[in-house]
Amino acid sequence: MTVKVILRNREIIIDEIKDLTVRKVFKKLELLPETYLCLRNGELLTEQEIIKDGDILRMVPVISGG
Amino acid sequence: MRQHKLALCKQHFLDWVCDQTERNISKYKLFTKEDSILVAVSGGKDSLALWDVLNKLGYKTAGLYINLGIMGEDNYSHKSQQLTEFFALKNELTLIAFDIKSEYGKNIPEFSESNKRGKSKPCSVCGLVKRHIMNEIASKFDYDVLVTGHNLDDEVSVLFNNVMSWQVDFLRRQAPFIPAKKGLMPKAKPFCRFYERETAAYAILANIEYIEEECPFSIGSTTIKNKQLLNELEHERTGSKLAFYLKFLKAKNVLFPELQKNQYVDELFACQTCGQPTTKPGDCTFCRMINQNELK
Repeated sequence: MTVKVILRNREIIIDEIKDLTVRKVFKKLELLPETYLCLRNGELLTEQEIIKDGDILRMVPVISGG
Repeated sequence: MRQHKLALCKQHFLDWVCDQTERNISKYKLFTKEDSILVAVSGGKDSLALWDVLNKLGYKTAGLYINLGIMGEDNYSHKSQQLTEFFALKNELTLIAFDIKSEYGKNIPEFSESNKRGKSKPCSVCGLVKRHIMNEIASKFDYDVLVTGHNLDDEVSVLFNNVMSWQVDFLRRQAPFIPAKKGLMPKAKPFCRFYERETAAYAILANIEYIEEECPFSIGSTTIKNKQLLNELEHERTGSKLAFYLKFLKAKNVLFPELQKNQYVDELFACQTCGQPTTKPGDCTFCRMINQNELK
């Protein structure tokens, strides 16, 4: 029972599933929520969204410098 | 969006961005529906989102894309141009594509290598070139205003930098709207109050394909470091970025009273080669750079 997170071409596996929300994923990966958006199957998720077993999340960075 | 104490569904969020953009345009008197607007587009989320919003609001726009010739691992300039062209085609919008290498014989990395200003860090050469070309094209094709996708995070990063080094002249000039001066087009930033996260969310929810990869030269830049610091502050104190910017704009009336009375005037001269304004007599910095490269 796992959740996969794709972050800047890296794949990170999270094993804790109980009551996992997007906010908890940000905290676990030590990401500032102000700097990323979380997508699941192309759909934008809010921080309160509950993550289910088998979900594949993609973290899209929002900071640009160019 | 904790900073606004607001949570919206997809459609209402898209509508909110359009409404807020219209409010910014009105509040800061940026331009009107009669104006011919040139939008500087890079293929990134902010400029394409802005162009999309202005198009939906019924403004008369065209886009200007400048191919800087930056390669990197992902052939950055090529990919960003493709995405910009795709957006323009999909929305039946006019796009002017300007290629620096074709026009001047060198791309940005090559210019910066052969120029003291940009040695090992092309950003200052890039900024100089883009500003020059945007002004030249907007003027040449008789646009009324030049518009960029600068968002709140961009503005506060620059503001933070200018305060840290007390660049008073830059602080004086920083604003959502910069009026025309002799030889310089008026410039507007309709997205200046949107958080970068909001413009990214708009681009994703509006199904706009944009270049997610960063310019390879921006990695480790001061801009990104400042943004990271400011986001850590925002995380601790929601709304601090917006407050920093809006209170600065209000404070400008006290800090620079001459602006209110239109008393402050930059002393500018016309460049001997291109005619664009410059702060010293003779050639402007851009033309000096081009001339130096031609001599080599």
